[in-house]
Amino acid sequence: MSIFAELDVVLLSRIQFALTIMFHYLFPPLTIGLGVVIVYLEGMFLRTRESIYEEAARFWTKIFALNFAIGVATGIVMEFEFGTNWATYSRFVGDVFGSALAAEGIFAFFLESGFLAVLVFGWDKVSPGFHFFAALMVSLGSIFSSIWITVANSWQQTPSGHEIVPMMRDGEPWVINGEVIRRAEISDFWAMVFNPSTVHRLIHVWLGCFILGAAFVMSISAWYLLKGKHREFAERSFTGGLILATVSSLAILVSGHKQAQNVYETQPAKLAAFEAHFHSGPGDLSLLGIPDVENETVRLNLAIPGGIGLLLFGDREKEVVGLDKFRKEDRPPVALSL
Amino acid sequence: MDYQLIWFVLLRILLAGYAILDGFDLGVGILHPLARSDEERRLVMSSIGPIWDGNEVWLITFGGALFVAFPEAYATIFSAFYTPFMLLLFCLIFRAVSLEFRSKVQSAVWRRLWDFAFFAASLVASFLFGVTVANGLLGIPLNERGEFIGGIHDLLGPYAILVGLMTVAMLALHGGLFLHLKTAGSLQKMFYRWIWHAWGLYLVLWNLVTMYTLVKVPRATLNFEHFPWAIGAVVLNVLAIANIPRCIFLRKVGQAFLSSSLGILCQVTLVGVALFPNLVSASNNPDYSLTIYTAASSEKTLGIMLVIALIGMPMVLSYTVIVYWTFRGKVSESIY
Repeated sequence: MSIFAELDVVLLSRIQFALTIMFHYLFPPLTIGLGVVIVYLEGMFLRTRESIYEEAARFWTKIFALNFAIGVATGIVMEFEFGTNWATYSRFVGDVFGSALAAEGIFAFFLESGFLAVLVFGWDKVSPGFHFFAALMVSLGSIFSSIWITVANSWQQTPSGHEIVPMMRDGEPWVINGEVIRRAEISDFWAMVFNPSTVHRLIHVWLGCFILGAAFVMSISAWYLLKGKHREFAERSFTGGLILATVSSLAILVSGHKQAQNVYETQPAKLAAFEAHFHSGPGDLSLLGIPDVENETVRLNLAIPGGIGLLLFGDREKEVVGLDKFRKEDRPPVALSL
Repeated sequence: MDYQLIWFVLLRILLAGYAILDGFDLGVGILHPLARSDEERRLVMSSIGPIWDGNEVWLITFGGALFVAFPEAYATIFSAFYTPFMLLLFCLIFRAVSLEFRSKVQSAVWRRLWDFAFFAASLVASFLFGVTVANGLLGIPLNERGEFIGGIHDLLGPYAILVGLMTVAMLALHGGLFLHLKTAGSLQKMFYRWIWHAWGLYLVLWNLVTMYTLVKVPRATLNFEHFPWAIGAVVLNVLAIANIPRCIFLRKVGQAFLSSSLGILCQVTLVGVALFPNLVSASNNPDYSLTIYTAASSEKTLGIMLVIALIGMPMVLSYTVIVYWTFRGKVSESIY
């Protein structure tokens, strides 16, 4: 296996970072989704004053807190690893990329963690109105957090609003061994924030989070319903979850479609790679298959003829740019992305 | 004041906020094994239950702010301190997880395990913060590009160990004062005794560190001629440390806690003065040091981020106050 032969520090660092990100990303989406459910339950309690809503909110809050704590702990790791593992990258993009991370800290994390205390431990200390406000702030904080981290990630995918300029030392470009040291600097903050893929990605992330939170609540509630335990609580929670899940899953169909079109516009090589579309021309949409990068084909291919064109343009005959339009060394890995 | 200087001061404020706030959380962890019964241990943990994660956000925001304001320094520090920071991360994770997991299972072994994790993680994290600060004062070997060229053995000299130990004692005292404010009855009496022990230990170590610094770390006082007010910070620091036993004796523990916070603030300030204008001092060649001017982001980015900080920080302070006000008074219920 070639992958083991290439097991150098860089690859190990990538694996470490990938594991960190994947593990971290188990928690924040649930925070966002569950936050919305808690706001709904507390809002219903304020309106109807039925204690069952309060009980339900209390229950989900406990799980929320546990999930949030692990989210914080794993989030710090991620922030540290930009420096520990990718120092050279951080030097190059800190001016731009760091701004989104710092804004996330200031606007989102303090809001979330501050009001989380009231949400989790303040039941008997504050009025129900203020408690609802705390739930709203925590939910808002988690959504702010997703905005800034999605901005950072989208800028990595479709960078804009920046220029690559020489670093200055005493008014002169900084030169080491004849090489000018350069980095990216913000030229237009809002163009950086609203880079071509931010909005598509953000909507997609939010809907995904809502579905996750709703499905989480529904699955636990369904288990209680099956066991015949805490019936009323489970019914109320399930109802909230079902509304959120239905709306979000319908909306995500549209959002996913728009996002794929956006990927084709902004990163055609990426779309070609994750569809294993090697040759420009009408694209078959592979449902199953093993990509053979060497021979630029897909083995054991089960595909819808013209499917990619149909999805992108509503036209099966239309030409879809394939990997052949890109130099071999510039092509993204196909097997992983497919 | 230029943007670079403003951001240097802002970062010191974030660091001081972290050291004071999460400082007592860490101290609570260090003193946690002193509580004998299960109920007492739960109370000790519950005293920081609602606030510890908010306190930790100061560190996250410090990291993010360092990243955007001084990316060169962020990159150098984080890759130079790779091993200690990975250890630190393990500690922070174990602390968070032990708080959350401890009371979720009714088993003595399970609880002992998380009790130990909570204690050890707090202890080691405090020590590592001290080690990092000490190395910052000593400087680390860098190349022309500002990259760390040393190894792990460069980071664990006698000075670093001494400052690490002092940090542990300082935070144990800080946490002890906090616990005295938050507990009642026999538990409070027990912490009263231990505050004295912690203060004694801190005093000894503080004196050792001060002497060592004056003799071996010339850069620590070099800037005093440019910033005469720094002498004021030294005096204030000494007064704050001396005021603690007076207040404990008079049972004005709230005041003692404020003095302890003031002492920490003074020390963070003095380290800042000592470093200035460097963020990372190169021990091998002063020309390679990363200063607030050579390590900074563009003026434009610093300006944009300052606007963000000026909008954000007042909000942050207001809800920090709301939360601490909501949870004022003694801890009465065990939430863990």
